[in-house]
Amino acid sequence: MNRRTLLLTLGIGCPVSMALGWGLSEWMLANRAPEAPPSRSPFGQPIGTPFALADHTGLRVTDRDFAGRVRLVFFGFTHCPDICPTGLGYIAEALDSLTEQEAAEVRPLFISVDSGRDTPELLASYVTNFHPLLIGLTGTEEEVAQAAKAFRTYYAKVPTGGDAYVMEHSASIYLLGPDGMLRGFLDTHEPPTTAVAKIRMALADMASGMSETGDRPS
Amino acid sequence: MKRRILLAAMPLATLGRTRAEAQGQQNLKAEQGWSRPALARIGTAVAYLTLRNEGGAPVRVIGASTPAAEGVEIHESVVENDVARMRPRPDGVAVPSGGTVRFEPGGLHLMLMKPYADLKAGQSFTLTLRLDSGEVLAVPVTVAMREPTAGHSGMNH
Ligand SMILES: [Cu+2]
Repeated sequence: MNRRTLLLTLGIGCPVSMALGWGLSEWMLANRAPEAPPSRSPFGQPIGTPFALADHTGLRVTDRDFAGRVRLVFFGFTHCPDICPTGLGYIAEALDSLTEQEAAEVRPLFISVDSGRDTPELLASYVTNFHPLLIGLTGTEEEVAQAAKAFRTYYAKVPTGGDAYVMEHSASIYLLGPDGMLRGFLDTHEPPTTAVAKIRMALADMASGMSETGDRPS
Repeated sequence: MKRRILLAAMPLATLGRTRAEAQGQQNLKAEQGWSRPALARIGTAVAYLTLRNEGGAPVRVIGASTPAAEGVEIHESVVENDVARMRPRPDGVAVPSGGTVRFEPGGLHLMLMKPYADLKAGQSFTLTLRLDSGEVLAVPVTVAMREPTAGHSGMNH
């Protein structure tokens, strides 16, 4: 190898290895991300029970009110400008791809972790902006803490100066089967058609009669 | 001696500045500005766009403003161990020469602080980016429920 080839090799080699390095870290991130939630909340376990909150119409509800349905559960807060609208927009797109009959069997729940600001009334104007089927849930600090505990999820208040604050929270969208078991998670990085396929698999379980103790609400 | 250097340096500095200004205007392209519907009383909104630097030197976006809101901040969402956080980017974002930077859902975004009115799908507003060259770049932003799909291929990033 003469000097010119060496230089040429270096010249090409560097960008290539840099590109490989970047691709590798992307790959590692992509492969690590889905592992985190299941390690805390194993599949095939009942999850999300018990909780008692208010829905965005002001009605008191508990986890039992959604029993027997396929559930999508996403924690967030209305003042969140990016992650929450992205998650809710993704859920809305998936819901739009279901047939009316299928969508009627799905309960998409947005549980606020910001009890200080998110009243049912504010949640109503927020969630209906995304999709008419979305159900916003909120409650007292204790009620929200209990709901988060039931889903084994994390959130915290982060002051940003003065009275201002943001909430950090789990980015997971839980998919629960009609039996209340954790089926997995929706991932906003996947095309919405993947979310639709996951929801349909959970709906198929419902058709085959896998549901909780039969006290399905009408 | 000192005076001669000063005299010599001045035209150069002026020239350099003029060139940077002219380049900033021509070389940094902003495309696909869009925003999501938002409620004024909630007090936050978001804007996304794609920046393309066709010039020979890096360009840094150091801030932004809009007549639609009291303030605009450059932020980045990060998800670590499944926890979503938002980080301020006070130094802004550099667009390398020949490079593209996407402000997109779940990543870099321009956060609108205290929008003056509700943002409704179909409306539009102007976002003015401040560049490190002293230049500004006006970007049209359309309010939409979903990311406009024209102009780029798919969800890859
Ligand atoms: Cu932000």
